[in-house]
Amino acid sequence: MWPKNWQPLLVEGSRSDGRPSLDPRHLGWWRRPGRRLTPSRSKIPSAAASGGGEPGMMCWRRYGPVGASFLPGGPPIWQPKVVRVIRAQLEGPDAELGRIQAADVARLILGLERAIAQAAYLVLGQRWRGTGRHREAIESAARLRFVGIDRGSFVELLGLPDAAAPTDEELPIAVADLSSSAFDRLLDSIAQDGLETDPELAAAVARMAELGIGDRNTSIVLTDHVAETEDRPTRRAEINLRVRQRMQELGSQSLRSRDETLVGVLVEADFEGNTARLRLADGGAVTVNFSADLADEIQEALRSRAGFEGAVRYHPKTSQATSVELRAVIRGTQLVLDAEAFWQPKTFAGLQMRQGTTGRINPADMAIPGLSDEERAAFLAGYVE
Amino acid sequence: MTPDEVPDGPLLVDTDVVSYWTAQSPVGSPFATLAGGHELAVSFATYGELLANGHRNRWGNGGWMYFANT
Repeated sequence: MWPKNWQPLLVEGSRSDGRPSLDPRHLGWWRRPGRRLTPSRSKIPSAAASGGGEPGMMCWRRYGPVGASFLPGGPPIWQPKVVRVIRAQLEGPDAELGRIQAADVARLILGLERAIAQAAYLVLGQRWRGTGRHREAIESAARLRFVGIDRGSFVELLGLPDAAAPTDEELPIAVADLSSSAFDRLLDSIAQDGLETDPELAAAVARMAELGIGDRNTSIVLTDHVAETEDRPTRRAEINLRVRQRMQELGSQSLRSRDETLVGVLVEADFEGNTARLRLADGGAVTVNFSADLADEIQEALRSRAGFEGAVRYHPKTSQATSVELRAVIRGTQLVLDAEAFWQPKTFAGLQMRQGTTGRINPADMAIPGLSDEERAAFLAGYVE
Repeated sequence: MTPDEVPDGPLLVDTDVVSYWTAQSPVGSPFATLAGGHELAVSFATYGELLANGHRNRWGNGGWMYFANT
């Protein structure tokens, strides 16, 4: 049944010696030791199918998932699979094997996963955390694999997800690219001294530094596990006491307020105290604080559904919105649609008659009156691209 | 393309072209030439996209009323 010199194997993932780990979703055939395909990795007898990719990256090949074209005995189909390996180095007096607290090893990995997830949200341009259509992909992008331990202080080698990480969602980029970009974003945020770091990401980094950075440990150093070349210098970022304090300060802002737009129904307003009460879709109530110049808009928005943009404060424990310092009221336009009539076929002439038009329109007469140059440019921006 | 090459009958105008015309962009002039003499129509999807674009750019009531009444 099996091709000669091949063994059945459930294939997915990688271990530190280059051998694939097991996953029931894939079934493939794996060449026996000694029948290597790539001389560069011949010293790994069980990974004859693995090949050297870029330095510091692990690359192997595998069969595709079981299907009509992957039946036993069929032609092998190899797919290269590259994993970006990163180093997480904990430095300190006790940061070595045999002395390091086991819990710190786990905290380091989990903390790094959380930080990469937050960075992935930023890469995708998403403002809400923990919800949204890309949540599954974010989780996949932040799922690290333990590749091994390196020499030095305590150094963990961790693999970012590969391109085959499963997700049912449509993403503008592959999960592997998202993960890689998120790690780069994380390194940038740690390395820069400015205040531009996203508060949520800063909070995640600060939490990672709760490994006793500045206390029982000196620092965490994150680097690409890639040999430095002229074209590609090794990237490195260090979380030390100074960075920890900066991230804590930035991260605390995420608990205080955030620029958002809340959507709900304005149920009452006090025009003497310039406050109003907004009922959100989930039933929660939010206090709206508005300036006098927004009073007219508040009055118009009463008892109707609208968006309220401003600095939103959240409850530190429940994370529920509690108040918003209003900057603008965004009111939608309710389109009236006769759903039944929509499905009735009509002739072009019939539609014209119903809408009271001839369809004979001079494009020059379609210009919106009073449109400023700025409004015009903004309106056309999407089409110019 | 020249006006003579445009097929007879009504034309369904897509969102970008309508936007060029409504925003008076010079990019819309060649399309206006091609559309001359034809009955013009837009789909409900284009109407929605125009409203969405206005919403995104936070138009004042003037812009909204224009599309609501056109």
